[in-house]
Amino acid sequence: MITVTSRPDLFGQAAQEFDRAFSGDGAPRPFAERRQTARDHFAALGLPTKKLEAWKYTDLRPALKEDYAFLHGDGTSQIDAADLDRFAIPGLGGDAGVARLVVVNGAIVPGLSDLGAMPEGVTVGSLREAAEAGDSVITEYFGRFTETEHDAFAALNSAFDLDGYFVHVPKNTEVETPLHVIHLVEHDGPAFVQTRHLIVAEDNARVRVVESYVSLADNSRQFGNHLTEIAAGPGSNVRHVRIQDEGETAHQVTTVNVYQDRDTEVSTHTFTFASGTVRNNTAAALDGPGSNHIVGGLYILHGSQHVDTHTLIDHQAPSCESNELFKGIVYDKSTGVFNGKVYVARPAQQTNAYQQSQGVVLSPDAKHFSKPELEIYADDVKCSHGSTTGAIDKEALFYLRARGISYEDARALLLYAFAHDVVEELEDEALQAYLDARIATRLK
Amino acid sequence: MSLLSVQNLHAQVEDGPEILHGLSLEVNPGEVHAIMGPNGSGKSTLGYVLAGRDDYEVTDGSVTFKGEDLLEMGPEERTRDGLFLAFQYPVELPGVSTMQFLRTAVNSIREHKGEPEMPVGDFLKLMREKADFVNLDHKLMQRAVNEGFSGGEKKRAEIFQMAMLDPQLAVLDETDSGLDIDALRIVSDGVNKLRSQDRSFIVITHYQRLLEYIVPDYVHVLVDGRIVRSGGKELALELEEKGYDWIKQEAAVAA
Repeated sequence: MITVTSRPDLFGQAAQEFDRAFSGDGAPRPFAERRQTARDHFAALGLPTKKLEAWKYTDLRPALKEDYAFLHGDGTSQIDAADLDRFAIPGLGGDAGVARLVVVNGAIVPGLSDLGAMPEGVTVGSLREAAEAGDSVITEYFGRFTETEHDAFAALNSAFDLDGYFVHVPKNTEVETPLHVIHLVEHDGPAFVQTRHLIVAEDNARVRVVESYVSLADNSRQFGNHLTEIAAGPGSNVRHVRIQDEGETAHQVTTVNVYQDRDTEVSTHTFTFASGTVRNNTAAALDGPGSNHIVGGLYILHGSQHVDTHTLIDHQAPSCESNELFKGIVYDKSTGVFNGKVYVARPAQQTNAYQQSQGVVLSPDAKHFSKPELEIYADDVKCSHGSTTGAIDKEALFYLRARGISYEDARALLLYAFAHDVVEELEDEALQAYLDARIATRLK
Repeated sequence: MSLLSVQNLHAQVEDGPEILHGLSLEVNPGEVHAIMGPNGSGKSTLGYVLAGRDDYEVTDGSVTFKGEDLLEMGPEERTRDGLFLAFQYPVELPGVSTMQFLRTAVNSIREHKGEPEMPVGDFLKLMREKADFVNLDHKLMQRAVNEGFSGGEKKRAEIFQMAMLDPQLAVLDETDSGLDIDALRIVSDGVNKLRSQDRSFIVITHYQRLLEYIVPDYVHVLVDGRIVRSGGKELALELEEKGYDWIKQEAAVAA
């Protein structure tokens, strides 16, 4: 077991020990060179501090104070499969059914997973296993869309021989069955866990992935560093949804890097409920004409939760569209941060890029920061951004109360409507219902 | 005992100038009172103060509803107790489903009366019945509250909501404004059907036109935050004929 303390330099040390532990079996590890480079990058960068512009509002030090043990799951677990049913999304996938992958301590646990509903021809499974088997798709795509030189957590993630899910959908294959990935930590005491995921959709392929980051215990102390890469080939459609609901002592840094070829549609949504300090980075590169990226998120924060969302929509090709909608509801002493950048390169004419960030602040001690950024080098584009932060509409509140509805119920009705906007962007009705129900319990 | 008793009411918009300067009004069960007055006379302020909007401040006087101090109650308590304000400008609530809104409202009032929640089937039936009251398209129930409703639909929806909540005292704040003659007739018919011995109305309006359809028992003229003249329904006709200037001058002389 490797122990990591709060001193950031020890993360680098842990990285080395981790690497040694994994090469102990003498087997050659895939991407050894890439990992070494990432480790060097991490060593050079160290952990980010508030001095960096990109981390201005988020101080990770309190979250890193724990004496974390660095977990590397071995594909087994003591968890009873029946205990996982409460994390299921009832009705997800409808008639097509749902495939389930369970990740414990950063590794896929086949014994708890059920991929029976997945049609043939689609590869779904452990990224580590597929990499070790020399899967050519992984060789081609792994790490290709992730930059580690300036991103400490992406570097840290890339430095290790990690596991996570790997989804490969071949040409012209439309997968109706969604993949539901359930992430859990099984450990007494503070735990640091990393996962690495890769979704590759080839030409005209279609696939949906829903990830739940959840806990068996209410107050499990953990820090996660998760990275997902999505490669969307020409004409493909990928929908990715994440639910972060691990409890208030669970911290996360997540990165989703998307690459889109021509005529693709990719959506990435993040719903954050019970969490500690969370930083979510989503970057999408629109590299082929006629593509669309939809990025959205909702966070409902209590206590001293802190959720920092960074997005970068990189329009490189002409005639693409991006739609961005993030909403936050902050109670108590919680903090929401939104920083969204839309970049439109010179060749990306006829770009339509829309960005919207809205925060509702419900306590004098709660904070919401919103910073939209547009950087446009093409001259024939439609770009807009709107950013509002405020209290609940008093007029609407009075109207509801004047119909006999209590202040609390009126507030909940309005907040629910506000939050549901983001849910409505999702196609799956069962998923919508699941999220709506969770939203209702988070509103107070 | 009167249903509503307003005594020497002074009110202002929070931190603003005083708008109502000592208004008094008695409403008995079953009566329809019209409050008429020029723009800026305080008509809507009266509606808001009665309904309990919290950016209006009462600085003097009293309001008693069913023998209780109305001003001590929050807006929802007033409604649960039987008061209803039909808004001049009904608020659009994007994303709030009309059904859920009305069910919450109806059940809040039932709970206050010690009645159990209304079964969904009964609720839907009641909704259809009351919507037909004001010729309100049932499809509008599938939308968010007032969202994308035309001006006339919004006003009809207010009367529909009133019918759903079954108040003892309804305050209609310029429900006629912006309505064409057909819509006005529909809205008035709806109100007239709800008239009863136990239900009273305060009809706030700028124009006499509405009062041709909803015939009041009493007409009060509000000028500069005071009722300067009260009379029967014929007072409305007199105002229609002579305009407000005449009564404003009288009021100025009297002051």
